[in-house]
Amino acid sequence: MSHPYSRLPDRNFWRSAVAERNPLEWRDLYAPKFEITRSMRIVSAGSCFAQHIGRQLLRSGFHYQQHEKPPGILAPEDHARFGYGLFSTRSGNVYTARQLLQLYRRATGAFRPAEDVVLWEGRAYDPFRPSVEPGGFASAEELRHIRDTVHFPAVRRMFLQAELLVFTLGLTEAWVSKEDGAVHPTCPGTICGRFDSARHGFHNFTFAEVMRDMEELLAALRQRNPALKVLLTVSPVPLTATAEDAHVLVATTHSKSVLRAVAGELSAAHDFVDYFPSYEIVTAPAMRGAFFQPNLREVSAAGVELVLRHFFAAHGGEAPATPPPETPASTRTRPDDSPEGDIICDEAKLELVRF
Amino acid sequence: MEVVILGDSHSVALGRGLAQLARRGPLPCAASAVKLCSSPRLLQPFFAREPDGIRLTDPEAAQALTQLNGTPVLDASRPGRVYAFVMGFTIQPFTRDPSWRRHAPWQEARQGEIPLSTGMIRAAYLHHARHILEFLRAVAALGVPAVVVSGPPVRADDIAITRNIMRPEVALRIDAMVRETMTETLAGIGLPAVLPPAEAFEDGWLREELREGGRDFHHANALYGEAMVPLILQAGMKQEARVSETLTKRPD
Repeated sequence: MSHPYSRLPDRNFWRSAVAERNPLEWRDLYAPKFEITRSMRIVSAGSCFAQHIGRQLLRSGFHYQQHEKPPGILAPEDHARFGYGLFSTRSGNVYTARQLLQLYRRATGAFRPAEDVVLWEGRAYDPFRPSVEPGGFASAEELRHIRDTVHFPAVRRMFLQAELLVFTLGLTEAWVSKEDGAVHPTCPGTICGRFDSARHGFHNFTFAEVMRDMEELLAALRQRNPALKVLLTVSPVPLTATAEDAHVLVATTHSKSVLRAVAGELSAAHDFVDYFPSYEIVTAPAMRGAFFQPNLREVSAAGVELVLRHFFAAHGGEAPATPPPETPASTRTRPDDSPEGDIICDEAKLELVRF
Repeated sequence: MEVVILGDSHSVALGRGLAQLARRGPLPCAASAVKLCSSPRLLQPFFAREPDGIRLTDPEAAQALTQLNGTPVLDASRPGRVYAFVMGFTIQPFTRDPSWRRHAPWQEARQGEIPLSTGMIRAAYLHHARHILEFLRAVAALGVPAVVVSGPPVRADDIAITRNIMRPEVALRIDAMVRETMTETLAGIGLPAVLPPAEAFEDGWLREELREGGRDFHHANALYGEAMVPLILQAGMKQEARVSETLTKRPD
């Protein structure tokens, strides 16, 4: 008897590829659409989970670019606290597709949000990257000067000089300005300022909206940087909290499903877009949650290592063998078994404001 | 009561100033000055906490303290003595870091230079002076009456400027920023800072006549010491009174 399934390889069948195989030995999860070479100019942005990828690319000898570098006077243990070394710029976490599009539009002067500074307790905060300056800037003038003369040019260089952009989609839920639609990385009032229901509204981006934002961004980027390729991933980190009238587990599944579907759709539609299945590697039922921290949210060092092992198996390079030396923790979210280095996760602050 | 001035190389000018003043007439209290060691040695671990005191572990500093107290351990066993620590305000070698060739405080940054926020420079300096701050926290925790003495204003002929590591206006900005950062941080620890008097400044720089001469491009001279010592003694006496009052009010 012959049918379309009869000649398919083992990887196409759940039993042979998943159920009967040690999940640490899964193969062929990721078949790259294009080669990622060590000479390619690689940049990254995205949610907390994206920080691991950039860091490891750099360590593994890939040409990972950081367009905002720390000054020599700043101690290495303060780099992450000031937003250095986490992504290719001091963008802070970029959780939503709209946020990435907005970052590009702001950096190129196409969008100027009405509320671009939050003055709070005598300090000035950038509402779109509230954690990059611990304790805030000394003044709105200082914030705007450094943003306009350092950060935005770096963002432009990141987008326009890159040969590969790695973007990790993190969330669909966001808080937006009711005045001009500017989207915030985290709920206003959780890191700085006060929440004002007259000015800030909740929005859960739909599949169509995320698609539209990503398509608009990709079109704009490719127009100015035709050689750019994009590698999409979806963060396996569940929502800290949902603002929907829903159980957080249900809201997480909805959010991640939308993002995963968008990533798949974009990858299918464009030869310059690929998808890397970090989400599947960590969240697969066969893993039985083993790669999450005890809080069942943060991904463990072993989980990150496994994800990167799959990536580097396809592209060459070394996955992290041992975690690097510890650095002192301060306001970072980094439990004992967390992955290497400091991870700055603004969204996790939602947990802190609850009590 | 007695004020003991001790710390980095800026203690020397203060000691000379103290000697000049003492020759001229009686001081409001007993006073002495001792150089512990050069400032770079205080940027590395130089002490260890012990149950009843703080042991200086830097050999040079330990030797100097031993000559003064008969032991390298600083403790609270000398009633009436106030320490005036000369440390934490010395901006060299912070200002000699080559990264200043490309960076500047945002207010001073020119085209091609990367502007840095005040908060970032403060964080960098506090890390730079972390061992000193840790030492001063230990001193405060010990209940030893103490004040902290600022170094002199930066000199216009400082090596960081003459070697083109930083522009003069950047040096002035950093100097003022460090003084402000340290004063605020020390206030949080409960230690008053003794700052240079307004007369020591000329357009932000250490006045030329207060500079140490010869091939020294960094230190102040005895005349500066003469201007500073009365301020140090005054602050020391005030701090001694404050600490004594606190101890008196403390329930048994």
